[in-house]
Order: sequence, then structure tokens, then C-alpha cells
Amino acid sequence: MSSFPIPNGDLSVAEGGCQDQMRKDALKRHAAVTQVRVHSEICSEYILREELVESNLNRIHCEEQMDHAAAQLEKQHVHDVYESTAPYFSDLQSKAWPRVRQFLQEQKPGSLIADIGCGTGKYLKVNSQVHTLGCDYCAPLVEIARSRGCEVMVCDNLNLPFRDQGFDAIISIGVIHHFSTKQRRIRAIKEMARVLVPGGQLMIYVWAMEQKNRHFEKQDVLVPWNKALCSQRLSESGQPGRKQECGRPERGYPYHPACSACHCSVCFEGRCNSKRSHSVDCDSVLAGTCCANISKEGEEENGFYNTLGKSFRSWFSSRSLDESTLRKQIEKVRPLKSTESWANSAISIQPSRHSSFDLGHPETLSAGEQNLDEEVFVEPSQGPREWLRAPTTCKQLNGDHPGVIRRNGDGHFLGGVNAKESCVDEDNLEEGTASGSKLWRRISAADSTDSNPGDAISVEEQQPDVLDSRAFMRYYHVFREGELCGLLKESVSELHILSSGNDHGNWCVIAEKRESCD
Amino acid sequence: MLPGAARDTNRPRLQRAPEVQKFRRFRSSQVSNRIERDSPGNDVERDHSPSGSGFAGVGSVDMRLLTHNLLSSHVRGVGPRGFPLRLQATEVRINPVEFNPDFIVRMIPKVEWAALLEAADHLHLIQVPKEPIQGYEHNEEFLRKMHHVLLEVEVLEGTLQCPESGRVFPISRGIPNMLLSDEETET
Repeated sequence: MSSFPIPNGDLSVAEGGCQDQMRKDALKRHAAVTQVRVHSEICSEYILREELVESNLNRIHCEEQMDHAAAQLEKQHVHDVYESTAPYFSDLQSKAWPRVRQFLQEQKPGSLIADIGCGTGKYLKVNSQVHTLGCDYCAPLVEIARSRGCEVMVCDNLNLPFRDQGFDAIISIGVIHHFSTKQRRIRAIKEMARVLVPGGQLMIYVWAMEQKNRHFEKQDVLVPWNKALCSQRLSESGQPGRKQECGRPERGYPYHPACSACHCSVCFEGRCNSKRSHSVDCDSVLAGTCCANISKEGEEENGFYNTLGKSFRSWFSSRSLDESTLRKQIEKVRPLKSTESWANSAISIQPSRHSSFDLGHPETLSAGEQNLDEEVFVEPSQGPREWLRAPTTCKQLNGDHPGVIRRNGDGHFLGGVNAKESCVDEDNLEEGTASGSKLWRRISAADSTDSNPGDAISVEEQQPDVLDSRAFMRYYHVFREGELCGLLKESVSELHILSSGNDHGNWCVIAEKRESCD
Repeated sequence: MLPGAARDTNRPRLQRAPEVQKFRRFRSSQVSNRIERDSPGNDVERDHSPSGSGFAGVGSVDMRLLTHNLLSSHVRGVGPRGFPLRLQATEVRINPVEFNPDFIVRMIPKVEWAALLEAADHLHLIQVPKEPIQGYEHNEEFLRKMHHVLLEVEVLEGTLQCPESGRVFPISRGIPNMLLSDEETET
């Protein structure tokens, strides 16, 4: 309460009753003013608090919206994809990653271990001296694991249905990268830490952004999975049971009909909206168009492939769901449309100069013993590589062009690096520049043996039905070097990192739950 | 051998033929009779299938009490009061597992005993000791009993109920489904 100077001394001038009266008046005035002041201060304080509360509410509201958007994205591009593709994994045999296997075998006999995101359960029987429980969000995959003799359940990594400190060790192989916001990734890791005993260890594997045979230009990507590859493999290899080429079983594809506007099956949006602007983060950049693993059949079909002899990789950039993105949007007072269309509209396709016309894919695939759970775990190619430049046959992207390409709010187009690159647009799709479209079509026609994320999808597929029947898009947030460790250090203090490194294109961490935890 | 691992090759294995499964499955109310008749350590007898023929391959594994002991409700706001989940079973089976005393000895300290007692009770299983008995590490009878209760009793069909919120999670085809709906997970 600020003080209000009382006229001193002045009151003492007059004497007698008059003086008293004056003093009383002064005091009253003082009191009145003080009261008003206090009142206004309280008011402003109250208003400030209200504003704070309101801004907090706004923030919470934003966060909720974002979390909801994240859940929707994950449902569409993780859970549904895995569910739909699960049938292809029913009799696949896949081997365990050596380092993961080693981690499991090093656990003490009689340990209780959880595999969070176990898929078809390939790690559940590595060590017969421990009791391993498999958990996955995808019921069909879990069923497969159960039929193999593993004890499993369906649950959500974000809300693990376990009591605190129940497990001696936990593995999370190729799971955290499916969460679309940083907050959710942290939450998933914290949940696993919660159910670990103090001193218990957690091993996390996530897909790395830095890849030898592939170039991700963005961290948030949608990777296609070609189911035709799996069946092809089956007939081709003639082996009993199917090979798990399809990588780690993932959720089913969200199948979307080709966009009517541009006939591009990859642009999944029902209504193409070129007016939508995005912040810098969410570019719809597609790098690395087409990738096909060359199978024998492919080679026979395409002289082109014979020449190249290698495979390509493709992926589609997804919009980053992180806080800043959403906040920017809300700040700009742009209506956030339904998350589905949002997620869909963020996809664009563009052949990238930088990309990765990587050649030399996991002939792990062609080698036949490939364990493709490799969507996450890509084996570097052993053979010689050839790089092919993307044919720049597409017209420059026209910002008003509906459907395929999106611009950033600030005019950046698909990221600075790609700004000059030619883009696929509707016209191209329809007319098809001769060589370019032929190239694409050929590539798409070739059998892609790899279910590896980012496998062979022709961007300019002119036969939407062909692509549609094959393409499922899985969302990944690929991690930069140090990102996973940074995440743990910054936000999961209950875990202490024991070791970290790169294993076949994955960043991995082994962390221990601290003994003295709250 | 441990749970989930392949069975002992020397012993006749359970066939997974439907008729065998029917034979081995029964309502939970009948479990107690069956268990009490058999002595806990008598794995060999229980292992016989009617035809006595060989093993047909690794069979499926359903929810066991060791797993139930770890489960807790994650319904919002429930916290530690969500443990243990109340187990009800309409279909249970006995799935013999080779006895490994070392494994059981190590597992005993990790068990939340009260939860185990409650679950065993709901399944009408043999009387489980109120707590690990003194010197249990060397008490084979005790260990075999615990081995049976923790690893050999499987729930095929049933429910798990949150004691605090009442939310019911189903167990079907041996797999508990602990997913909450979208509405339940959102604030």
C-alpha cells in the first residue's frame, strides 16, 4: 500500500478545535484516497491475475487442441496403419537387433521386463530366464504375438496400466518416434520411467534423421509402406511363411482415395485448399520422391532399373505438431480446421534434388534374410551406390495451385533448400512431361521390396488406384543426433543416461532410473 | 524353463487341438476342484493330453496372475488407488510350465502379496499363503505352489475392474485390453 503523505506540520498550525477538525479531515481524505488507491491496486492486481488465468487457460486450451491434433495424427498415421498391415505379419519371422538382444540377455534371471510397443513380439522370447510382458496399442499385432506363445496386452504407452516400479527393465524399440509432439514423447518416456524400479534400465531406439542411404529434410515425415512388396516377396522367395520385409509391424494405413482435384493419390485431402498457410515448420515438402527396391521382377520389367540397379527412397514431409507451430497458428487467428484435413493437407510431394535417389537399399531385402523390421532399422547398403538426380520435369510450383503444394505463410516454399526445385503439380500430373512421368511411372511400377518406411512410392503416380492400393503412410518424428539424450536430460530427470549411440540408423539410449526418486 | 518358453522336449506336450483345449478349459468356479485334487507339483500328470501325442507347436499364452499383479488402473485421477484391479474370470485354463525354482525364488519378492491373494481368491484357487513363509527359498512345496499360481493359471476370458472408478477392462482371448477411450483420456 503506497503511502499517502499526510500533510504534517500543516495541521499543527491551527490550534484548538479547528486544528483537530482539520486533522480529522486530512486523515479522512488520506484514508479515502488510500482506500481508493488500495482498491485500484487490488483491482489491477485482480485484473492482472484474471488475465494470467485467462492466458493460462488459453495456453491450456492450445495445448489441449494440440494434443488432440497429435492424437488424431497418430491414430491416422500410426495406429490405423499398423492395424491394417498387421495381417501381413502373421507368419513373419524376424530377428532381434543384436544390441537389444544383448540388453535383454544381460538382465538378471527372474527379472520382470516390459516391451512397450512389442509389435508381433520378436523380443519377448529372447531370454528365457526372465519374464517378459509385451504391450502394444495394436490389437492385431498383439494377437500375433500371443499366438507365438508370448504374454501380451493391449495398452497405450501414454497411459501404462501398471503400478509404479513394477518392472526391472523396459525396452522401447522403434516406438517413441511415432509420437507427434515433443510433449507426448516426453510423456511416453516418463510413463516408462514411472513403472521402472529404481535402478532399473530402459532401452530406447528411435529412427535417426541422419541416414546413410536416405536423406530426411524434415524431422516429421510420413513414410509410405508398400504392401504389395510383402506379397510379392512371398511369392518370389518361395519361402515358407512370409518374410518380414515390412519392417516393424505398424499400424494400418489410413487409406485415402485420390484427391479429386489433382488426381494425386498422395495428396490425401478431400478438398484441396491452397489458401491455407503454414508456418515455417510445417512445410509440405516432399523430398526424395521415389524409391523402389529393385526386386528381380522389377529389374526384368524395367531396363531403367537395370541400369540403375538400385533402389530409391521416398518419404513425405509431415507437418510438425509442436507447440510453436500450433501457437503461431492460433496467434494468427487462423481457424484450425479438422485435424484430419490438416494432416492431409500438409502432405505434398516434390522431387528433390537433394534427395535421395539413394541407391543401394537394403538388399538386405534382396539378400533374402532381411529383417525388415526395418522400417525403423535400415541397413546401410553394402553395394556400390549410384546417385541419380531427380529429373526436373515438374513445373515450378504455383502457389495457387490446389492440392499438391502448400506454401508457407511467409512465402517459403517447401523449405528454403527446396525452393528452387521443381515441384509436382497438378498440371504435371495430368499432362505428364514425357520423361518425367515415364520415370515416375516406371519407378512406381517396379516392385518395391521394401516396406521400409520411405519406400518406393511414385510421387507422380498417375494411376491413383495403383498407388492407393499400395501406399500406407506412417508418421515418424525422426530424431537428430543428441535429441533423444537431450530430451531425457531436459525433461526426464528421473532417468540417468548410461550409454547412447547409433545402431543401424537408429539413435539408442540406455538409461537407468535414479535410486532416489520422489 | 520359464513361462512363455518352449516346453520340455522330453515331456508330452499339450496339444492345442480344440478338444484338448476344451478339456483343459473350465469355468472359474470349477477351478478349485481341479486344483485341489491335483497336487501343485504334479506337473507331469497335468501335462497329459487325452491322446498323449506329441507337441503341435508353441501354443498361445493368456493372462497370468503374475501379470495381473503388475496391472493397475490408469483412469484419470485414480492413482495408486487403482491397484489392484479386481479380477473376474469366466474362462480359465491351466497351462503347465516347467518348474524353475530359481526363477520363482527371485520372483517372490517382487509380488504384491495382497493383490495376489485377492486374485487367487477370485479365481477360487488353492489357498495361497498370507505371506511368503520363512525360508521360502528352500521350501519346494511352497515354491511349487507359487509357481502354479503365478505362472500356470491363465485367464482366457474375464474382466479387470478398477477398484476406484469401477471402469471395467476386458480380457478376451487371453489378452487384456487396457485402452481407455478418447473421452476418458481427454481432460
